[in-house]
Amino acid sequence: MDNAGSAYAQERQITLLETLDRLLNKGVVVAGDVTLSVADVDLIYVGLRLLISSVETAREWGLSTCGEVRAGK
Amino acid sequence: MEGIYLYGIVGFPPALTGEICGLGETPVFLVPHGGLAALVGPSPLAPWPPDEIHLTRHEAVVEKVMGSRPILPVRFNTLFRSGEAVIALLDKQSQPFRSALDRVAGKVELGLRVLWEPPGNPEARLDQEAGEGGSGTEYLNRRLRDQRRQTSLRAAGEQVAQKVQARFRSLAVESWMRRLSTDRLLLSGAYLVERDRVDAFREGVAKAREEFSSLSFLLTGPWPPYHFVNGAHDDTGDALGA
Repeated sequence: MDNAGSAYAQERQITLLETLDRLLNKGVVVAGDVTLSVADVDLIYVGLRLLISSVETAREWGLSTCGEVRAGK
Repeated sequence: MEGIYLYGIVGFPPALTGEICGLGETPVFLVPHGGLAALVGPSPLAPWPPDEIHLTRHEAVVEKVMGSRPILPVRFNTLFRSGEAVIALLDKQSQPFRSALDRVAGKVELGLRVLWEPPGNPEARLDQEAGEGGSGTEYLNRRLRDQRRQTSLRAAGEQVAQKVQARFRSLAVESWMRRLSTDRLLLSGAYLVERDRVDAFREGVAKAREEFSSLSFLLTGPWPPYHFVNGAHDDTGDALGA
């Protein structure tokens, strides 16, 4: 991969990690009427660790309209 | 069983321009109530896996809307059984949601992480390599040295962090920060910045890079105002005051 490409991939990875930090730890907390059990929450964090160690490539995440195939990398 | 996934809270009425595609490739729509609207989509009543595809899809929906109006971003995997339950939330939290929307109107969040090379201490590293072995006294000495190292690290970090933070606080309306969440991560900051001050903030980071050449600066954003919606939390939530 050329330098520009790997810088791009790195940037996408950072964006993903920053997104993850915000979406799971910040933002408005409302008690939705579907409560996740403690076990579910644990699962989320297990998934999180897997994600952090396994994200190698970053993807395009522009919005498509529903049903359209999303551009991927 | 089908439920409703909540992405964010916006003021009403602004019509959504164009179709926005949400989680599970389903269209996002607005549930209006009393001058507010919930940005929602249909969803099974089970948590979405927090992986790259789903996190970025949620984020993309919020960012798409954020371009045209203030939005309060809601935490990932907030699910409701019915539209009535969403309306009940808008009804009950009307006041905090309105003030939070006023607070973030016209502003975006910028994220800044500052890394440093912590002052080295070869002795500490040797101690770690020595592992769990040794007598009780050796163990206690090791613990003591480790504690001293942490204390001096914090003191040194505090000084640098304050200098850096002073730079950016004036460029933002509000700021949030955490120091030394790991030894290398000197500062994690979030800044609520007027849209037309974003470029000034970027320039501020560029200048700081020159001035503090031993530090690494990672600037991200513009983000929805994730760090600046506390106060809009639902009273019944278990994370109140977090």
